Amino acid sequence: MKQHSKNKRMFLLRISLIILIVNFVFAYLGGTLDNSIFITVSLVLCLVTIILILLARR
Amino acid sequence: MTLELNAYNWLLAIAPVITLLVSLLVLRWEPTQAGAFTWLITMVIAYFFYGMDFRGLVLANSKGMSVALYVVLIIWSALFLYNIVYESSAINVIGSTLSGITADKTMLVLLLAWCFTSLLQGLAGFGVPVAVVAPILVAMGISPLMSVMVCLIGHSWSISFGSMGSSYNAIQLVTGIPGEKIAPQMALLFAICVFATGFEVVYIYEGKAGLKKRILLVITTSFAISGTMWLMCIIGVAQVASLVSAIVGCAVIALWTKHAKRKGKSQKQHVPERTTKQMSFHQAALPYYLVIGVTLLMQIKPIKNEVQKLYFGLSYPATVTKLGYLVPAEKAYSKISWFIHPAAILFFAAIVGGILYIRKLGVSKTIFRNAAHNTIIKCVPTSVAIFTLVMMALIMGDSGMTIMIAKGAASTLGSFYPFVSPFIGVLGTFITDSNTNSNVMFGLLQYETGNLIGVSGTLLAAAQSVGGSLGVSIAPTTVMMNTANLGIYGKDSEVIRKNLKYCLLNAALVGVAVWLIA
Repeated sequence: MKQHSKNKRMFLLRISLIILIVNFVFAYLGGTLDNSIFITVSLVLCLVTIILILLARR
Repeated sequence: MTLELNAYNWLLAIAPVITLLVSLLVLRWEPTQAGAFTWLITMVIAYFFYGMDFRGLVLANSKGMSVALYVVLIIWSALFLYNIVYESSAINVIGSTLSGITADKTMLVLLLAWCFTSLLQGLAGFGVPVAVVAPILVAMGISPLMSVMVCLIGHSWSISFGSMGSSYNAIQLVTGIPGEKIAPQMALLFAICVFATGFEVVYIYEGKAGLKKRILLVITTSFAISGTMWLMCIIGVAQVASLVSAIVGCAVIALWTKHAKRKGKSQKQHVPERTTKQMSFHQAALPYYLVIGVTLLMQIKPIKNEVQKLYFGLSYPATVTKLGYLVPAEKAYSKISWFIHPAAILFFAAIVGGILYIRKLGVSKTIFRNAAHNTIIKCVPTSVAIFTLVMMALIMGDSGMTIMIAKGAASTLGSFYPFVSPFIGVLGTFITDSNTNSNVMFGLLQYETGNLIGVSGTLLAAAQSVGGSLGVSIAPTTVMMNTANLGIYGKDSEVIRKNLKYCLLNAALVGVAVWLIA
């Protein structure tokens, strides 16, 4: 059970890290091109990341 | 900036820091969760109260990710290198060779807890030094509690220039101060810490009586370490300053052991059996020699000028908040040079070292797989925490919250502020469990406060980094990791409580120096 929750936590954190890196592209393009679609996607990804990280509590 | 300095605005600006403190210390969340939650709070405050629009927010996030990427790459490659050395058992050879130098336990404690931990910090950092050395001390018959204590205090002088200078790079990145300007000032302040931590290690292990007996040993070694560190900073290789000065420290203590042996005071101790048969000390340390060699090679002007041209760095446009706070445009922000970046050098040393271990010393081919696996397990949570905290710090900076905190601190503390600056660094590390994160969080604040009160911003930024380095001795996660490692889980609060007085004393000594210089 303990191992299972540890694996789940690691999985969520890995996904969070991947989303953060993907978000890097959207945030940069959104900010520099002033493109509202990219900006919206980036902010949504920020929220998803935060939720995933908070769900990854021990 | 049109936002006026008053208690309400100042409290809003400091709210993310308080949120982080409460979530870590009161709610006892992990740095990943605390970082994510604080990042969210910071975005909300920046948007609703500091006039930052969505574009400004995503740009600040993107800048934060650029800085975080720079730091995270170092951490991943440093830990990968360490894991290669660990998986091949070379670390045992290095440890046993060092512990076999003398039977004088105080000298060994100084050698291992003060210098060898710092040597490891110079290479890997990330909690590795104490995790490696504390078990060796326990094996020598020292209590686990004392082992953790002396290691944490002993290597707290080497954090900023450790891990190939990740914290040092972070303070440069957030403040924009060039390395050649801040590094010598940091080295001067670190000299105080080197002397203090040396005496503290002796005091913790041997008590008052030991201080008198070991005064010459500590003073000569401290001079050698501090001098080397300063020299490294002057010649522009600050990222190996901790590493090289720790090596010099080890060499000086080794000379002292020889001297003691000649006088008949000490006998050579039996060297524990090596786990890898044919591996000599130099073969074991080969990847670390490669790191030093390649780093020095890359500092040769013609080579440096050529390889510097190849880099990754994004440019950012200027932004302005609805309240009129202007952030200038950045060109090649948080530049990562393909060949000079510490991660490239560390990764190269890990690959070459690993291949040599396999080819020449018959080490199992699985070391690469195991090292990669262990690196991912350890680095993912830390990387997530660093990303969120750095983004939080950048939003605070780009929205004008950092300058608001700085203005408030400057107007309240005035000329007394320089004394307090290292304590802010300590607080940052205590909160975030990392000198790098502390620098990212408070580096700009300290720099701008210095400029506001008419004190050198560079000096205060240096004090920030030095304070952040000292704070590692009481960083909760590091302490917990190591108490758990030695089977004394639950004793962490005792370690923090006992180390706190030494940490605060060291910060006070640095504070007095900064105050006098300022």
